[in-house]
Amino acid sequence: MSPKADGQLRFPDVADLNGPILEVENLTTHFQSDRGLVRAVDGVSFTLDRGRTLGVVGESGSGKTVLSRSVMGLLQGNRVVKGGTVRYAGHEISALSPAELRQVWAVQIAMVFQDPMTALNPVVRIGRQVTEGLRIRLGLDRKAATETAVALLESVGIPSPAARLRNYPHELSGGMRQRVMIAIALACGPKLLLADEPTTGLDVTVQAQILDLLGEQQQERSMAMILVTHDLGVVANRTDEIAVMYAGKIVEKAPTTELFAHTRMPYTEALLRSIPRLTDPSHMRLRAIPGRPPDLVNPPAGCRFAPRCPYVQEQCRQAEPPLRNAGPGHQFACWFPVGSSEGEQALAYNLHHKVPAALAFTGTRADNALAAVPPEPTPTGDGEVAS
Amino acid sequence: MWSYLGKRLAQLVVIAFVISILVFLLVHLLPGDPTVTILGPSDTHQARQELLKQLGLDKPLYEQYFIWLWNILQGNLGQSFLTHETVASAVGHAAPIDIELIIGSQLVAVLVAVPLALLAALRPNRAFDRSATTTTFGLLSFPSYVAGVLMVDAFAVGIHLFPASGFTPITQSLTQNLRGVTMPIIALTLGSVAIYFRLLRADLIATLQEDFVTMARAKGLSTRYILTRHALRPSSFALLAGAGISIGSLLTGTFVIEYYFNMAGMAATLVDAIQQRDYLVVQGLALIISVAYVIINMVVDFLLTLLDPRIRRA
Repeated sequence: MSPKADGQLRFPDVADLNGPILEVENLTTHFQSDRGLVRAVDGVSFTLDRGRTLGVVGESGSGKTVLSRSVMGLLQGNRVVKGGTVRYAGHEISALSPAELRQVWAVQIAMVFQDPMTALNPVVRIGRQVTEGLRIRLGLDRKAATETAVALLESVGIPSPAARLRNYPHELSGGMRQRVMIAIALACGPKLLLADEPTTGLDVTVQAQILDLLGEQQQERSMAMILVTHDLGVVANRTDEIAVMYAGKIVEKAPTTELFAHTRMPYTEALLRSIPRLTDPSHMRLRAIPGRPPDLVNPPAGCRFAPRCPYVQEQCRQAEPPLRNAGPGHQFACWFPVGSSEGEQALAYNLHHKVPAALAFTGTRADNALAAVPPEPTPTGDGEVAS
Repeated sequence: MWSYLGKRLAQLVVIAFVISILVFLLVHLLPGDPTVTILGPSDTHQARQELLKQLGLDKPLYEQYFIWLWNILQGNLGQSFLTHETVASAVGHAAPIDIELIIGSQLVAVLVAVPLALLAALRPNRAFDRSATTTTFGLLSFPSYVAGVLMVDAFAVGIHLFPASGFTPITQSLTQNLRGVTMPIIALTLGSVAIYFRLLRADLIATLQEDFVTMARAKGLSTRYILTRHALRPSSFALLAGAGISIGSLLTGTFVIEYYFNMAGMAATLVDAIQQRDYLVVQGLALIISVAYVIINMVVDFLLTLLDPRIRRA
């Protein structure tokens, strides 16, 4: 990137960058509401190296959308209470003023929004929505911006792109609209792309196309990407690392293969089990996670997943488990982790005592747990004694 | 586009025909007798009958209607039986006054209301928004004729800045014309500013919550650009519909101001004609005002389709 006029922020060329492109430290985003403080994101830390992909997974209301918008600094206003730091390419962008942040957006960090029907302006032609960033941010003239826009639309697989520039969003199909949105996000050549549920409103076949497109573009441009989704299946083959969010916190984070191979957090396990598999018998009931995510105004004391957890013990309701290391790059927050002897004991104990969350957890895993470990009185996790 | 215009034009013809029947019936159902106005209350019965015959009022109602309609189709709206001025000529004198007052006041109202609403919607419920909302609420409860009286007192009687009454056609003197219409236009503007401000502010606040505004921000566009190039247009549908209603109601709603500033516009001329049972003038003016009302609303409909591409093919 060439040096810009005074008053402009200067970012190093990503190729020259030492260290991660994004470092998020203890990020909190709370909203003031009439009911009290909503702790939508509550102390999240992670780093992302250039060109890599992080998947952020969680169910609705886990704070993953707020997380992606907080990283970008999009949430402003007097009801937002922010904490922690976000460093992009070594710059602390969480400390920038709104005017300075504008220089970061689109050119350095761009976002693909969830619903292309509402995120594209319904009364503005596709042409202006794609070219305005090119003209205003990159200073291209009308002709150059239009040529670039045609090339962009072509690169995201939109047929007869020049003609589409004259269309309004409602004249395009959902998949085409999402392609337009990706083209807009890519327009100014961002080094980091935040994709917030980019395929939620689309047909399954179109979903795969859009995800492939994002992957291709990421490779070509050596962009880093954060892929936010509720669907572990979506991120399984397309991310280097996965962070699982629950109630505003990261509860497990690991390299993708490690996470699937050695799941430690019961919530991650429950998410994995809720994905239907091709090998399952047809018409099998989906294994849903019972209950709902907690109220973020009054989160439960202790572990926030405790009320829904098949492994839950008294200790979980009283003390919040810290993030612990489990091998290189693998962190989790649980007293009775999946695959550990404490975890198996806890599950077996709960099955014996007919704890509803545990009974919902049926199938071979539960049978094995019951058979393998004789029930013992009130298991304790992590060497600590629960009352 | 052309088929759309053709359809609306055909509708207009049908509506105008229905209006003509209603206007004709209403006028003939009015109590009072034009012969009394013309001859005075003391004249003889025979003189009245002769006059009725002369005016064609002795014929059956439907026959009178068709004679009137036939004349209109030939471009003859009739004439006043009091002054013998043709209705067309009366309209020629009166309409420019209304056109200037209405277009002038609504234009000023929009030019004032739009920037106010943009500023207010940017920070809802903060100091500027609160004071603008309160002020416009005050304006809304402040009738145009009260504003007229106060202005005449201050600027015409007090410092002689503007004439207190009278209308000078633009063709005679532009400066005199503008001086004459300034105060009535301001009086008519106040209420409209309040309505336009409130319609646009509410829709702008809603629009600014939309994803596409967040998306525009994420493109790094300036607040000013987002407001004017992204948020304003999708927030203007209610404003435009409101403008149609407001302009339509001003067609006759200007009459107090017309009286007060002694400008014989359409509304004042119509009210005079009604009082004098000058039935052909009443019919002619009422028909023209009604058709103008319908045309204004059709123009608004058409502009709405231009403003919102989603309803263009509906």
